[in-house]
Order: sequence, then C-alpha cells, then structure tokens
Amino acid sequence: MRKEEYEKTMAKTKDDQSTVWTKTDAYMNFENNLDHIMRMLKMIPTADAQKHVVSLKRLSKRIFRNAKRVRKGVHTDLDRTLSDVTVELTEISAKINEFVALHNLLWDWTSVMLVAFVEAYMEEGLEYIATKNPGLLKNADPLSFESIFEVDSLADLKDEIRRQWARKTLRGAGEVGNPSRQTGCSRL
Amino acid sequence: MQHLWDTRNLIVHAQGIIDRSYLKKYKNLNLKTGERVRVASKLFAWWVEGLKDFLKLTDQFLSNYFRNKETSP
Repeated sequence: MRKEEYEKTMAKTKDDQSTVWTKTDAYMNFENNLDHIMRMLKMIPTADAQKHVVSLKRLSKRIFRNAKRVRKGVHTDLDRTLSDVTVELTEISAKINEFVALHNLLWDWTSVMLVAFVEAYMEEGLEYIATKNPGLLKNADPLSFESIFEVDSLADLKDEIRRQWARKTLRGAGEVGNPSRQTGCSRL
Repeated sequence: MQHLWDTRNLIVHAQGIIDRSYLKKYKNLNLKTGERVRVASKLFAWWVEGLKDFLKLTDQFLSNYFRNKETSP
C-alpha cells in the first residue's frame, strides 16, 4: 500500500466516526467468536462460590455457638468440637480450591482464545488487502514444492500465497533469532 | 493489547508463572516473580473494550480501502 493511499484512507476513516460501516467477513467472524467467549464466561459457576460462602458462614456460627456452650460449661467435649470443625473446614477449603482452579483455568483459556481470534481477524484482513492489491505480494516467500502440488487450482494457489504472506506479515516473520524480529502485537 | 499478548504468552509458554521480564514490564500491577498471573473479569473486560476500539477502526479502514479500490480505475 502506498503511503499516500494509506494516509488518504486513514483520514477518511478518522473522519467517519459512525458506528455503522460495511463490516468485513473477518470482522463478523471476530464478533461471532467474541460472542461465544462471552457466552462461555457467563457459564462460570458463580453460584458455587456463593454456596461455599454460605457454608463458611454456617460453620462460623456453629463455632461461636459451641464456644459459648463451652464457656458456660454446658458443652465440655472441646476436642470433639474442634475435630468436627476441622473436618468441615477441610471439605469447604477443598471445594473452594477446586472452584478457584476452574475459575482461573477458564479465564486463562479465554485470554488465549481472545488473542487467537484477533490474530485470525488480522490474518484475514491482510489476505483481503492482498486480494485487492496483489503488488504487496512481491515480498511473499516462494511456495514449497509440496504446497504447489497439494492445491487443486490456480485460485487455490493464489489463496495459499496470500495466506502465507499474511501470516508472515502478521507474525513479523523474518529470521528467528533476528533481534529486529518483533511480535505481531507490537508491530500492530 | 500488549498486556493481553504478554499474558497470553505467559499462560501458553510458562504455565502462567510471572517471570522477571513480565514483572519489569508491568511493575505497576503489584506482582511478584514466581506467582501465577491472574486474569479477572475486570481485566478481561478492559482488554475486550480496547480490542473492540482497535478492531473497529481497523475494519472501518479496510472497508474504506476496499471501497476506494472498487471505485478507483
């Protein structure tokens, strides 16, 4: 893309602050994927956490009640009370640990998925740009012998060249170990 | 966005354990080396909002770019 072409398009984009635009297929894919993530996050079993809090409150009430009875001399088997409380606390704490682990796992995985979806969007966007402006592909890597024989048509071959170029452009390919190599995100 | 990418890399490549370079980059977040990185709903929502803004602008740009290409000779 020429510099003037980029600047002209960017100026037009910045002027146009509307929220409605002709969304690309790549963007619609991203929105759809984001919807799935959000739906999944709503499934996080927060009710379980509530249940554990209720159990803890109930246990704490029991401890106070028993302590009162021990002080009054009504209840003297302190060892047994302590042992019951310890068992119950261990059970509750195991359930809480399990809940926290599941919670962390879901948040971790959704973050990983979010990055994958953004990268997919950027890759598709670059492929579209290359379709409209094939001159960009002059820096594309040559296809391997295997890739050429795997495709069924010339159109598939063009798609493959665009896909590889987009991937390389996004990930900032270049030689691994080259200090100027940057991650896709920092280049964006 | 960089924070999301760095956190993702930590999760995928380092079991989510905070290393020195992550700590140095995000020292204002009050983290400790060796601890597990924590993604919470507030942080996630902040990432999503940032990404939406960025992708909206990018997609508007692409849309305008395609339109220019179609109308220009």
